[in-house]
Amino acid sequence: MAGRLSREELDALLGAHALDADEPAEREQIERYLAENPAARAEVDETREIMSLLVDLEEGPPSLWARIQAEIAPDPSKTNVRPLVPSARSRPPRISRRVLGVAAAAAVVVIAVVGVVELRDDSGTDRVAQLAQAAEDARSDPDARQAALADGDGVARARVVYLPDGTGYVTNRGLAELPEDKTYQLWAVVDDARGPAVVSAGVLGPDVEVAAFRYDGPVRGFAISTEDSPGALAPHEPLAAEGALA
Amino acid sequence: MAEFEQPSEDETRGLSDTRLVVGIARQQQDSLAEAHRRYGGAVVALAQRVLNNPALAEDIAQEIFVGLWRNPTAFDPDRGSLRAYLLAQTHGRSVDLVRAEESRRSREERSARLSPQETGEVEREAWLLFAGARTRAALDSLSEGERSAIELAYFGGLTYRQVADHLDQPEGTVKGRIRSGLGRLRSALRAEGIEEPWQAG
Repeated sequence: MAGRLSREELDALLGAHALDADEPAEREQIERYLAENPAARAEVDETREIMSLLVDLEEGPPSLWARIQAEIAPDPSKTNVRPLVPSARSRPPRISRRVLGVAAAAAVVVIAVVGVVELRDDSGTDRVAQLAQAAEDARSDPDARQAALADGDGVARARVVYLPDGTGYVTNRGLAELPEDKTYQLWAVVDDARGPAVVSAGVLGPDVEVAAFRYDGPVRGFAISTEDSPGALAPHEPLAAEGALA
Repeated sequence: MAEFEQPSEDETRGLSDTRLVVGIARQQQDSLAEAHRRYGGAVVALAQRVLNNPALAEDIAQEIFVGLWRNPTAFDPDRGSLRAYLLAQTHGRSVDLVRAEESRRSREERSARLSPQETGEVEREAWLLFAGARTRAALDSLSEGERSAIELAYFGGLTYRQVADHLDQPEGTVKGRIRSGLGRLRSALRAEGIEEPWQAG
């Protein structure tokens, strides 16, 4: 425990405090001092402002947004997927009928974010290899359901394997690498009270090889869209790939 | 429903940071997504610089943005910019983690990471993160003693006592160099017209 610090000593520590370089034992006294001394607090605030200028501003990585989104999303088992009610000034987004596999020319898109864990790790080929192996293992599970996701010309672009416990893996089979400012996003095709709908199932990033996701609840297929920013609330069309689970 | 009251993506991109935080307080995910788009990379970069561990850096970044979502009123726009707030939170949290891990790490390993002699001005790597040529110039203009003390404290996550130990300097000297260096930095930036930068943003 630090002894009682004089005002001069506290002033001398303001620089270190602004950099989080003060000693823990001194911090409480410094915080109290700052609460009572606007000039001292301004010095600390200004220093932190300046230090923040030194860090490059880069767009947040899609993988991070997927994790944040998963953590802040309401538990789908509690919310039971909230449908959007179309309003006079907003047309409900539509998705193509082929993905739904039914005569649903104007399917209402359910906009909800579910608890998805996007496990893609840009930093390690080992991680990719582990995910690829996990996807391979899942495919050999007799209870697994699989979907071939094809583009508008019917060319297979990705495969999804989906396990009964809600775990799924999506593997790239021909999705082109996107520019850094775009990202692929995975959607689960579900049945809503008013018909087929899609629900965001995770952000895949611009250059996905294999990714794991989690989606709890009945699902009939998956789709992948190309988005300008991570965490789109409705898929941008045309879809990059789509397909029903078998 | 509330979702239809949210601004469009284009509108969100045009919002000020303060308006973004208002949106976050209203639990509008688009606002948090935009805050992440603007500052997520910087938050990860700073955490990674301090922690030297990409996985932990992303954990910290997630924690910072989820914290903003859950407690947006902790950000006080009168005290600075959202960027400064997020990066200060990131730095504090990263430093806490570094220090918590120190008991499990060998001192030698950490020392090697911080040693300019072995890594060739390792703190210079941090400059790759730096935007703002004038801010960098101001930092470069500091004396070697001031600059190295600030860099070791900020990017190395060391306390001033640890910096003093690392540089083999008296604690009071290091404490004084950090404060005088930061004061010189603020003065230089003011002279450049970079005063209260958050007011411009």
